[in-house]
Amino acid sequence: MKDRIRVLWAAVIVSLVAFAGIAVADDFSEGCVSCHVEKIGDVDFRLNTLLEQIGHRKVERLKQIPRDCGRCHTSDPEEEGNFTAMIHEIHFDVPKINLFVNRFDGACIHCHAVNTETGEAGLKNGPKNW
Amino acid sequence: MIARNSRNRERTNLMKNAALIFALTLLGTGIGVTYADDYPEGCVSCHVGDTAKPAAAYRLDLQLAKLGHGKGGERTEEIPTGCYRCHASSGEGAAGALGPYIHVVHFQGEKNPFLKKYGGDCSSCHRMDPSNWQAVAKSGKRNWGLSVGGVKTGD
Repeated sequence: MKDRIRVLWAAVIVSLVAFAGIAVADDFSEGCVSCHVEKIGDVDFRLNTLLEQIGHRKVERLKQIPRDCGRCHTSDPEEEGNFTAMIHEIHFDVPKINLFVNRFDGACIHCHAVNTETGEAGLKNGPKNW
Repeated sequence: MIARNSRNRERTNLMKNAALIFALTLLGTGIGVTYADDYPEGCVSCHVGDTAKPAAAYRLDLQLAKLGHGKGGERTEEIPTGCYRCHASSGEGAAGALGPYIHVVHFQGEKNPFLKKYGGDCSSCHRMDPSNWQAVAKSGKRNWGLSVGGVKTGD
C-alpha cells in the first residue's frame, strides 16, 4: 500500500513539474539565435545557413539578431513585405504542418519579451551564432 | 509463489496507473496550449465574474468603477477596441496608450495571476491576423449592461 501511494505521488509531482516547465521556462532567451542553432539532429538550422539556401545575400556582417536585420528590412506594418509580416507568416502559416505551431506551441514569448516596468512588448535579441 | 505473483501484478498495475496519469497530464496540457482558444473574445472572455475575487476574472466595468475610472468605460461597446478612443495605441489620445498599461497589469510581479494561472500566454488576448500577418488584440462585445446610480438602464 505504501508503495502504491509513493508511486502515485511521484507521478503527480512529475506531472506538475512538467506543466510548470511549460508555463514559466524560457528556453529561448535570445530569441531567433536560441532556437536556430547549428545542430538539430543532422540539420544546420542556423539562420545564415537557411538564408543562404534561399539565395539571401551574405549576412556575415550582422552582429545582433534580429536587430541588425532592420538595417534593410522595414517593420512598418503598412509596407508590403515588412519584416514583421514575413517572420509571422513563416512561423504561423499553414498551422497544421507548421513546426513552430506544432512543436513550439506558436508561443509569442519564444521571440518576444514584455518589459514589466514599462509594459512595452519587444523583440528578444542575441549575438549571431555563426 | 502465489503471493509473489500477486505482488508483481499489483506493482505492474501501479506503474501503469502512474504512466497513465503522467501521459494524460502531458496530453491535456499539450492540447490546451496548442489548439484550444478558451478566450476567443479576449478581455470579455476572461473577465466575467461579478465578485471582486478572483480579481483576475472580475468584470471590467466593475473593476474600472472600483478604480474610479470615468463612465466612458462602462459605455464602451467593443472591448478593447472602443477603449482606443481615449487610449490610442499611438499614445496621442486623451489618455495613455492601453497596450503598455495592460501589459504591466498582466505581467508585473511573480505572483501575478495571469502568469501563474494562465501561463502569461499572449494568445489569450492576441491573435495573428493572417490577412497582413500582424498580431492584433482580440475583441468582443462588452459583457455588462448600462446603469445609472447602480440601477441597470439598458444593454
